[in-house]
Amino acid sequence: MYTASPKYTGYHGTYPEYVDSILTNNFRESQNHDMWIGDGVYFFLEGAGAEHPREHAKQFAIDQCFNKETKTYDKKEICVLEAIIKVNSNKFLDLTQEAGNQLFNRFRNGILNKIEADGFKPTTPYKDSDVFKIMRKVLGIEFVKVNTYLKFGVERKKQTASIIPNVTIFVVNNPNKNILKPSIKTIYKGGIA
Amino acid sequence: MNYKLLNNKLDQFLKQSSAQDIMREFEALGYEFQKKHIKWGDTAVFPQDKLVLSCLDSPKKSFWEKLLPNKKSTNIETPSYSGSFFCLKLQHERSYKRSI
Repeated sequence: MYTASPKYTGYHGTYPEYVDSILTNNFRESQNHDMWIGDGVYFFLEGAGAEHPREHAKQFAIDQCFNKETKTYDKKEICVLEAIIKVNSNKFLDLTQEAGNQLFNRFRNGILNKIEADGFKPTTPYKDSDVFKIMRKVLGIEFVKVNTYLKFGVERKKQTASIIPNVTIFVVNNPNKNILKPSIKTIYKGGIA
Repeated sequence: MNYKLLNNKLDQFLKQSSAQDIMREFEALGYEFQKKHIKWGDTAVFPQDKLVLSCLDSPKKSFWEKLLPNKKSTNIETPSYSGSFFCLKLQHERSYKRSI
């Protein structure tokens, strides 16, 4: 069964030196994500946040180039790119919906219970990012949408600790097929204030 | 979102895959697995010799002081220290060694 393909507009924070390559060749999946929801191209979407998602993308790019050792920024400018993502509903895991969370938990419990029932345990805890990697492979998922709490630099300054989502993140695999290259455009370029 | 399709795929996967198949997927990502429980069957080797030897290596501390570091003044021959407690300590040490 194939249902209608929804489209999402996503916002991605990056740096000027990468923009030409992205506009020419499309996005590349970031690899080895230890945290979050595994490998893929990460976007911010409209959803849980109070601000427009381009502000999240902007803040994320700023935070990413902050050097904790020197307490300075490694980059002088950041960019925000906008892109349209064409979603195949058969490959979409929407964790902002209960049905999506239930599917993820069924998957995780199902595979981990099998290992436990066989009398084995891992020497290090299972990470979400690795469960997602296997889930993508097994179920053919190429789109994951999730609401989460992201501690931006401004939140750190305010000393905020929370579990209430403040951003909506969208992770896309197979970008050449799923991200419409002609739709990619720079919507912000500016210095780090 | 076609959850019916995805749930069906998941059911099929869980039906067809063994724990070993799933562990191989995790091992490809760098995970290692160990047996969850130590089985103390009839053939289990009691590590008493090792403990006695380690005690002899440090003559300043007696075997019982090592085993019960916070109970130095306790007379281990009193009935409050049963054999089962003694075995529990050894089991603990053995579990610890396996986790290193």
